[in-house]
Amino acid sequence: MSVTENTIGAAYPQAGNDVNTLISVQNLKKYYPVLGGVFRSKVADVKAVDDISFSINKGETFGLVGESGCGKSTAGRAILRLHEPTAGKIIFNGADITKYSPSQMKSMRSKLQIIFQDPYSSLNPSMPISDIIGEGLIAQGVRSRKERESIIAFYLKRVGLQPEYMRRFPHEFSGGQRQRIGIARALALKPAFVVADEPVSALDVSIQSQVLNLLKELQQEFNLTYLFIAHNLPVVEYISDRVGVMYLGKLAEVGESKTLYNMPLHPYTAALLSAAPIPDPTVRRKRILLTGDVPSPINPPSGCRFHTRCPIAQPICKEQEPALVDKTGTGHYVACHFSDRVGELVASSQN
Amino acid sequence: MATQNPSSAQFEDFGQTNSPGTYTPVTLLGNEDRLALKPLTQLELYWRRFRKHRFAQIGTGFMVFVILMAIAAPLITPGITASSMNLTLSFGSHGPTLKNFPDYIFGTTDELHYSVLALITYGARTSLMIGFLSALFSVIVGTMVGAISGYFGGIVDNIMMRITDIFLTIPFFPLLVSLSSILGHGSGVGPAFIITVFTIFGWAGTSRVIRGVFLSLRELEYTEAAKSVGVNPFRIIIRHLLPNSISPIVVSFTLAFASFITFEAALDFLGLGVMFPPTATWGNTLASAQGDIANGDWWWTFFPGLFLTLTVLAISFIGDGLRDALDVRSKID
Repeated sequence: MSVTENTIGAAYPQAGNDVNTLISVQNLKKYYPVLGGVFRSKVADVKAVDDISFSINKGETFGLVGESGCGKSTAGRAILRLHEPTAGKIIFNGADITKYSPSQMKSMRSKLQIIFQDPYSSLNPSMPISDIIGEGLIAQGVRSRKERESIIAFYLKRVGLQPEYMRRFPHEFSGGQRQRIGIARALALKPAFVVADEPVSALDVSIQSQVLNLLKELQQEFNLTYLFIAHNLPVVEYISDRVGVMYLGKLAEVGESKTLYNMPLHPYTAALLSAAPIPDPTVRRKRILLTGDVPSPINPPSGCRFHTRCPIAQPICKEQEPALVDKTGTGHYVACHFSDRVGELVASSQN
Repeated sequence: MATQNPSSAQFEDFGQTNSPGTYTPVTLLGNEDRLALKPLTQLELYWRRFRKHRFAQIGTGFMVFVILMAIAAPLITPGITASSMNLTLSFGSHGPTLKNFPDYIFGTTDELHYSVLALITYGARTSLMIGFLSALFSVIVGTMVGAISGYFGGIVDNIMMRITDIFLTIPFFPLLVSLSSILGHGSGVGPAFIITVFTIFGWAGTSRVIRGVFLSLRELEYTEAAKSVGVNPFRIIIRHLLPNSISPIVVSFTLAFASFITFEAALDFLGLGVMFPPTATWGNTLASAQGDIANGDWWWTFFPGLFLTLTVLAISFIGDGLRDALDVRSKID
């Protein structure tokens, strides 16, 4: 365990004091069983999320980045208990929602919402928009049809669609419009916390900024707290206050968005940043190239999970797993034995 | 949607609903968002796609004809009566004739001179009813089992699918033959019995198919979205998963409908199903004709056989057409 069991205090990445904390994720794990053999018994676990801890303040946007398959989406779903966590606690507004019964969880659902990545598969093709958005309202006890429709109309308008569109079906909308419908569905329940699971990665670049700005506006207007999951670094930098970098089910680095982007302390973050394109064709730089593929989460490497691909790995990285600690005392957490050498690595790639 | 003519009225202009001064590029829509056309209802879409399917259209036409014929049987023929008195015909069966139109256009049987047309029209009632109700009940049971199994998964799925396996491994037709001969005491069994047996042994295939569809649908994001807003599992199945698995359900239904009609005919043909007299079916009409084919009485076998074959074919075509029409993902053009 990289983090001690009793994690109240600064033992895990936290900004500010507990009073401002809206949601805190403690030692969250999500394993998927691998079934095999004649009797389909469990032969191994896919450790999609393996012991991550962080907290998010009220009104904050926490970005979660990492490459495909690193467990960021799984983490988002496990936090909402859409996929039941294998272990760990999720404290929302001071209450541990992992202990909630299904009926308690049902009423909690309106507070915790999600915006999905794929605007095509996230809207039921056989339902009109009014039903897609209204369904949650029915489930949360808005019985009167008139009341529901006025709520739906309000949020459709707010996300930039005409209220009359509620009679239409999803196939009549473009990707950007569909994503707005998905946002309206989440907002209609008046949530406090929204997991945005790659909300713009399936959209055209021209639409991405519109939707991002819409999300920012809505955050202001409705006092939302976001967990923003993405693999696009500039997008995350633009929208997030703090950012967590995940690698193979673990958090590699957590910090203020600005500090993390300007001064990465983990070699994986440095490599990711050096791979992000700069919108200036005259700038030339050397990328920090990672060799090999992401190891399998069924059988992750010993010690530091990144050591198999790390350009600055030493023998100790193979043996000892680095804890996620605040080495600089500025709320910038990193899980690396040699975080002081990452600066040189970054410098070497910039000339 | 390419078949629609976009008219200017269908492009709603935001300039009319928002004054220019309030324009903010963020919350208002760009060009990409203006392309939605006047909506068609779901039914209109289904009908458009169904119409593209020529054979399904022909099949529908034929089925409408057969069903009307079955309903109107008493208007078409005087009934299945020994009506030889009306004709001054010699002993034995008679080929198609326009005499006493339309009663004898498909000829008559021997001895009692039953009109083959009457046997076919009244027979259609029983044959279609048994096929339709067996298919309906077995698909309902199969869909319920498959839906619960596929949606909940885990141990529920395991138990239900093992039971399904047992039903799938039972050799259906030999069992039906033995059951009928034991319980029918040589005098045949009623339509209700056949429908019950068909339902009990016919649902397993459908439940397998529907389970597979549900396994894939429950992983889709809209199912997750419904869960995330607190919709209960039963409602998710009814509102989200069933409407989107309508196409395999309809295909299962048409396959079952067609095959139950042939199974029932086969059972009657063996003399183990519905007996005539009193109840005519296509199967027992064929059975009573078998001895006379050698005499050259082709009409007695040909016409009931023709109706049986064309009906099964028509149902299959309709199934094909419906599968394409009900698939929300398929495009019109």
